[in-house]
Amino acid sequence: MLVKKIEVRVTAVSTAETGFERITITEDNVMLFGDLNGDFVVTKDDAIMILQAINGRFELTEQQKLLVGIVDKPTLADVRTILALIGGN
Amino acid sequence: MRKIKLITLLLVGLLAFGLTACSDPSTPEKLDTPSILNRNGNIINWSTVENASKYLIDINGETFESTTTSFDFSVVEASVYTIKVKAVSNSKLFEDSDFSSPFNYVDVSALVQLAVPVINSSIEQGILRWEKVLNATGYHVSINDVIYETNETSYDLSNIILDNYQIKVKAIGDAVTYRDSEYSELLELSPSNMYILSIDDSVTDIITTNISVSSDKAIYGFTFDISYESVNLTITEEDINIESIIPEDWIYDIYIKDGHILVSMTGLEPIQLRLNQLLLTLEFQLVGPTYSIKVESYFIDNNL
Repeated sequence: MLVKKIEVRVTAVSTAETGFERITITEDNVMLFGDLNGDFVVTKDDAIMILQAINGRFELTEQQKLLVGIVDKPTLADVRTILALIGGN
Repeated sequence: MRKIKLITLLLVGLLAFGLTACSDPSTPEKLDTPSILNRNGNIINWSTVENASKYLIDINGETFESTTTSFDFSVVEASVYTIKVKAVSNSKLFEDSDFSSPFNYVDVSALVQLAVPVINSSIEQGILRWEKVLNATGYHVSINDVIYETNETSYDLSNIILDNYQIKVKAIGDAVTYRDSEYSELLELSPSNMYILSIDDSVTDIITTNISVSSDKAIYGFTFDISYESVNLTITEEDINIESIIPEDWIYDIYIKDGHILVSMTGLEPIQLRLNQLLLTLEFQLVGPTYSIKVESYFIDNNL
């Protein structure tokens, strides 16, 4: 999970005409789809994590499942979803 | 006047010499060489040669005569025939022709037919095998009516991707003494998702276990749960070999725990394994008196 500062700036076509500009700055948690190990990049390691979970080395957390769209148990198709994200191996 | 007489005599002389040279009967004309046209059963036919009075037929070195343009070559008992024909004239004006180009014919019914190959019905690692046929020069492997030639007694089917296989083999003779065999009995194979576990314990204390896989569809991955008696057998990840049929960009995980070997692998590029191709080789060390190895569960992922 990555904490990111998010700035939303709404500006009229011409501030001279309307006389105002609205700027909203918030900080929020951003999750990267497929980043199971939380290193802020999606790599083969994330795909291997799912293979390891399939083999029963550990259980994926609910948040990790959410990051790949796993509803029940991890599958080989979930592994390929990550591989497709990174363009193969 | 005398001069004119001399010139006239010279001209007549030259004319007489020219006429004699043109029609010299001592230089006979050579007959055209006949061409062998076709064979109809045991009858050979050749082209008519103008001014020929008869023909000489050479069959395997024996010479025969014919006044027609055909001949029954079965007068010579043989299985392989080499036949040549030449035209002959009884006139001094014509010289015999050269012999024609040889016409070769093999009477296969007179050859010894080779024995029918016996196919091994179990295909191991995608290789079709059959028993050697004595005196065969090669074999024709018919797979769904497409003929593949080989000199071996096996054929690799792993790159022939079909939904089902109708296989037969025949032995090829030398066409001199032996003729081709009949085709073997038809071997019909319909691939499906399955595995074959085979164990080789011929080496002392080493139990080599092979897992072969087949599927009628493209394969995107596998999972295997292989159980063994950890009291009597030991194995490490280094003792497990994933065969080269798996593409390099596939990823895998091997996990050994509590007498189970869990193997998972997948990749984006599918593979085609129609006929029991080797996937895994596991080398166990035997440390007890007996052993037991079996596949508890497996999944062949066709991405359906």
